[in-house]
Amino acid sequence: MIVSFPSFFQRTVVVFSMAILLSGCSRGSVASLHLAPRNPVTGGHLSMDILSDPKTFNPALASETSSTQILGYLFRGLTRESPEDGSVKPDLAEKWRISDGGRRVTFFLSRNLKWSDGAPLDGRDVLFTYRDVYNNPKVATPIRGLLTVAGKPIQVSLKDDYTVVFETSVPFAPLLEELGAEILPRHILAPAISSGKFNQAWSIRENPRNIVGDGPFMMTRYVPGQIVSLAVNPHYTPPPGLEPSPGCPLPCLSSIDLRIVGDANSQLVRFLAGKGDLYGVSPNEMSLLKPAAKRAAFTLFTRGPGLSESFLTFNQNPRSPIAAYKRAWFVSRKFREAIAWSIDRKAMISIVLNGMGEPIYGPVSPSVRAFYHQTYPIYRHDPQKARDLLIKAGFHLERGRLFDASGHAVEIVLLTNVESPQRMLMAQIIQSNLLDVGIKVRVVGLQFNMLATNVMTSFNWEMLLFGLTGVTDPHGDAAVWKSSGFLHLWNPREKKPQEPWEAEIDSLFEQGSLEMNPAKRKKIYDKWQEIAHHELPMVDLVTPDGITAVRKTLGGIRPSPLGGVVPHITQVFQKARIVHS
Amino acid sequence: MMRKVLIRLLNLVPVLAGISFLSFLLMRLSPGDFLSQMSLNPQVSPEIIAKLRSLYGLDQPLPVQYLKWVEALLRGEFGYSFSYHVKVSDLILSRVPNTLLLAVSSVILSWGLAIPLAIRGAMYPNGWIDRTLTGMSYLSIAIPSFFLAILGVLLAGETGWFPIGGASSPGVLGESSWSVFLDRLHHLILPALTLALGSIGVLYRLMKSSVMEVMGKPWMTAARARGLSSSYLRRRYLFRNAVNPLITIFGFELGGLLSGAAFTEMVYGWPGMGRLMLHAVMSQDLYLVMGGIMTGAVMLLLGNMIADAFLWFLDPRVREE
Repeated sequence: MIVSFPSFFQRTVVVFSMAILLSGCSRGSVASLHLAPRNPVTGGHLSMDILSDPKTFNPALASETSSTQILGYLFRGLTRESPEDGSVKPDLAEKWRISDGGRRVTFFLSRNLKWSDGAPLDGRDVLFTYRDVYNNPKVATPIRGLLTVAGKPIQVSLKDDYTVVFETSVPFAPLLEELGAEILPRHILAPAISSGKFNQAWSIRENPRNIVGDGPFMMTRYVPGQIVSLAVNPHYTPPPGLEPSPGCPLPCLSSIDLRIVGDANSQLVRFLAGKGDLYGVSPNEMSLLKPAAKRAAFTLFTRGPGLSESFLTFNQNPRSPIAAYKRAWFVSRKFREAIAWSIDRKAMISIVLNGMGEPIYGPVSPSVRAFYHQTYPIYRHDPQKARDLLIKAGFHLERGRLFDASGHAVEIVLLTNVESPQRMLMAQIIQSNLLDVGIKVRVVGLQFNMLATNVMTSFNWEMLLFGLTGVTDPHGDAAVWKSSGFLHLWNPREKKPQEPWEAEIDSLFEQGSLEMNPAKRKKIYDKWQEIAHHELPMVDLVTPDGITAVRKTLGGIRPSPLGGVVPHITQVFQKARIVHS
Repeated sequence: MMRKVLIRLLNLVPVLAGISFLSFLLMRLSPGDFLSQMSLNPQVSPEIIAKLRSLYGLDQPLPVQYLKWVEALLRGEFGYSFSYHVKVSDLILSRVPNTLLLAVSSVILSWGLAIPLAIRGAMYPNGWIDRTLTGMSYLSIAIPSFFLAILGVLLAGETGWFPIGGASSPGVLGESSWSVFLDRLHHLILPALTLALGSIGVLYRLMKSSVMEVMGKPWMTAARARGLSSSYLRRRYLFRNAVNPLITIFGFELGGLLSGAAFTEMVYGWPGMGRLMLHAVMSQDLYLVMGGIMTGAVMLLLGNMIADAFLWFLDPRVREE
């Protein structure tokens, strides 16, 4: 009943026609926005547009950003992640002690914590959350997998009302970060667990005022398809070490409105017309936004390279149905290195990301300062070097086309997901880059689920252009880098490592998760980054700079590499309001 | 008469069964399912996905799933949505009033404008009014509705005359019912106009040619020759004879009430069925999609039945057959 037309075509047409129309209209015909300062700045209001409705208000069931973005204002965990460098900071737990060689972590909760309904929050809530919810096989939560160490669930117990002990069978370094999962109120949700109705609890049909949380805000209203309204939680206690903005309590704002506007173009027009205070900019909108910044009273903030990156990878899987001679190319390290030298990342950034991005040469984003390790050489665009490498690897060029030693022309099918216009464009750039070194590439865009089936189940693919959800702790990528991992894309779930360097990475990830000393741990992951850089099972390409347009009504904006422009909503304040003259 | 209606109603059963089975088949045969989106996330292991899959019942064979769904349907339940963990019927019912409001007002607008204009155009074919209207109707047919909607959003953004997005202002809830009504109307104007402008062209052209055809009929000439005045003929005979093809269209419009506005709803951020269903299809939220399809199918079939009933009522020739 719904016909979905190709979104790429739609976006192109739309951006193009908007560019024409806006450049025609915005010459003087539109009144500028005027601002009046607010003093004092406490008790302000923030509004922004979001793309889709929340799917659930239950933090244990939420798995996509439309829900988690809202729940992030309402709930918190034992720990939180520093938006600056990815290190672990206290949240509900004011401190913790690691003992028993890393097998036991004891958390000490802050005293006098309260839920938004005034009920006390203590260790019994933590125990309930981890034992009865996250580790409960009847609960449809994707979080459970994170809380399994060496095949066994983490053991949780209470020492007293404010002391919770987590025990694992082996030391597990990423534990602290993973215990940032939201803590749930036992006094509200325990009945849903005992009656077996937890998977329907706190659905979007629930009265928003019944969602009891511990975050800086609580929900006051949800109108499906229209708006989510939040008001300050009177019982909120800020985490230790969080600095308030000058002249402000934490949180400084008193209310937030999230308008649900399903269409990105409408959001853009609304923002330019003065509606909403924050707007996430996509690279192709920069030329529209830059000239309007003064009139519509906003500033463009860049938080620098983010976590999301794109990469190329090659099918090295002996179980795959592709031709053996093709697999032989992909298994050759020199061949992969030649590809790394052939790619023009600068062109990708200027064409696909409108100049708003950074080249990436390794598996850890430079913004994750706690783990990033600079590796050499830097694979700059050098087709001559690529051709030399290929000839050293036994290939030869005939009239500009590359052939392997047994005379097969080098032709590769490049797979990517068709939903992403940016990736489709990048694929075309790769196609022309590789043609320069004599490799003929055919680009095939597949719908996401088809792509997943080809890559994960039938192994029927040759070269893949893709990106994975970024994480700060390298252990979060274990499923990709361990040879037994299910997302070890180039050769998933190996019985034993096919290549010696894969065995080495396996052991590094093993050591990395056992090592509790941060400095020693970084050394281990440095070694991994060096191997990855040299062996290139994945050729990393580019990462977009996150850009956010912020209305000049807002203060307390602190752009950070991992937390965006508003790493902590409590620090934001409203310093001015728009006056309609 | 009653017998005819009963037979028609009974005929709906196999049609609906066919539609439901085919849609179910297509949904399940398309690659992946609701949980496939998680399969390329390093944080969610295949074991977790397998557990979720059995929790959702997606690991059972297709016929079993289908029969379970039909059984629930016979009890009046559409099942639960995977992504919302809420009854599908609740989700659909929460969106239907908004979509109906938009669709019905656009139908009233487009029919209310197209029919009088078409009669006027047919009276004086190739006059300046007809030529202007014909030109405009070509434009109306040619411009896709989503593009018209974007133009509308731009107009609202540039002039500030209309709100952009949503179906009501955040602050208006809780105020007097009169201001709530005005606020709704203010939000409704642009989307309803967009939809109406999109269908007005087809209606105008159809109605005009139909009127002209009736006016050229020999019995019209004969009636005029016997001294009946043009205005009397127009009032008494012209409209009733010319409106037949439009009633069939009306049936389709009734059927499309819930689904026809999808693009416009997306662009204007109108909280209706369109957005709900688009997201459901994209995330393969099986039972939600099925619920939407079944509602749409029932509306279409009922729309056709109502159109037939209208024809039977208006046209004695149909009655005699």
